[in-house]
Amino acid sequence: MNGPLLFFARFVFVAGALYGLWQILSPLYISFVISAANELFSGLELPVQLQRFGHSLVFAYQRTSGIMLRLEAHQYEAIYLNTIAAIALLGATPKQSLEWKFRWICKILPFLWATHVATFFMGGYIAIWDYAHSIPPSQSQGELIVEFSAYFPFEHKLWCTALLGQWNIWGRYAVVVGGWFFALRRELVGQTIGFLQQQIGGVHQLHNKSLIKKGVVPKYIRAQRPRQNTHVQ
Amino acid sequence: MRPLATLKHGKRGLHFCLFFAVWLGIMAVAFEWLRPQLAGLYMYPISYVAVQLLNLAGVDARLGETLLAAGVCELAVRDIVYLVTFECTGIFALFMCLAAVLAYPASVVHRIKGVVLAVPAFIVYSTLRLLVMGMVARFAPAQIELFHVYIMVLVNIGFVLLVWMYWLKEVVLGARSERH
Repeated sequence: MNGPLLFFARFVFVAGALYGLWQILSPLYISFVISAANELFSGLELPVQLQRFGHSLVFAYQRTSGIMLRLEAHQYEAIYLNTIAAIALLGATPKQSLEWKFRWICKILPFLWATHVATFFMGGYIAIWDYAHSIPPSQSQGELIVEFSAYFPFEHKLWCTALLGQWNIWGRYAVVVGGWFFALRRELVGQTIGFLQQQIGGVHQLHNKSLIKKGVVPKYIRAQRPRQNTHVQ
Repeated sequence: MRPLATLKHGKRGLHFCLFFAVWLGIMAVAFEWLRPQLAGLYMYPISYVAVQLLNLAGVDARLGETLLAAGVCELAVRDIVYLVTFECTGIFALFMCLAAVLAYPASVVHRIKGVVLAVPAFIVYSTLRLLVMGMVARFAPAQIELFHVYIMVLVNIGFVLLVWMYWLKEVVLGARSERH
């Protein structure tokens, strides 16, 4: 239990330490996300921009009358919290060099950033419709729907809601754990094979029929018969 | 230039990552299908035990089940009603752990052992998780968002990997070590 518990303790410690750092870096990070999302809104000529007012983040919709409709995004920090989880996981990984950790953090961060931009971009489609449906039926609600449905079709809002709903539940943290598995794929699977080689006594023994018969060598190991110590050019 | 064995480990590792995603997809579909049953078999018992433990700890907590069919329990602490959703019970972390166990290239027996290990471990963990949330709701309600959105989510991930690594070390590698 020592190894796994130690890893867990290290992960919690790194995540805790990062939380303090994240309080300082979070405004900088969100500004990168916002500017990219706003570029997307502008590029697609959608009348909405993300704006920050202190700790609040709002979707600012430009109405044809010139009035700005500002809708606040609640708990938006949760969207990009998986960044801390990813850094903490990689940081807490044992038996890996600092260079390895840094390299993988640099690989995973742009990917996570892209998912955060996409999340806020889709948020632009969802927020306006949620607001329109939250106000009582009236002439102004009708006008709002007519005005914005040209830019934010209701069908788009529906699939954005479905996609983000599934992403928030299944994807947001699974991508972090999956990314960690991917970074360690050779070590995680290799340790079993390496262990067997060490215990049984060489690669050739993995194909020893008596060991296979006894079930000592599992099927998936048997499937990969090595060609002596060949090196791939 | 890389040794052939390393390349093969890499390929197997890729399969593991791919199967992890596939198993998660299967579980996402199964979850939608079994949502009402899971509310009754997983969420309610966990919430019930957590509320009993809270009461034992001197926290006046009550559990409502009127919204159970919708996949929500009502947990009242100090007259503030919190909605316990599937996210609060850590069930998605359990699914993530199960996906990692099932995707790993191990024998069927080892995988079954992994499932048998993970499910009770997560039931205990989820109950304690709700207990902690109830305590926070009682003694530091201002911190509930911090715990709900930040601390417990990160602990979830840590616990997923703790259980998975324990299984890998003790069951998959341990069993082979004992045989020799």
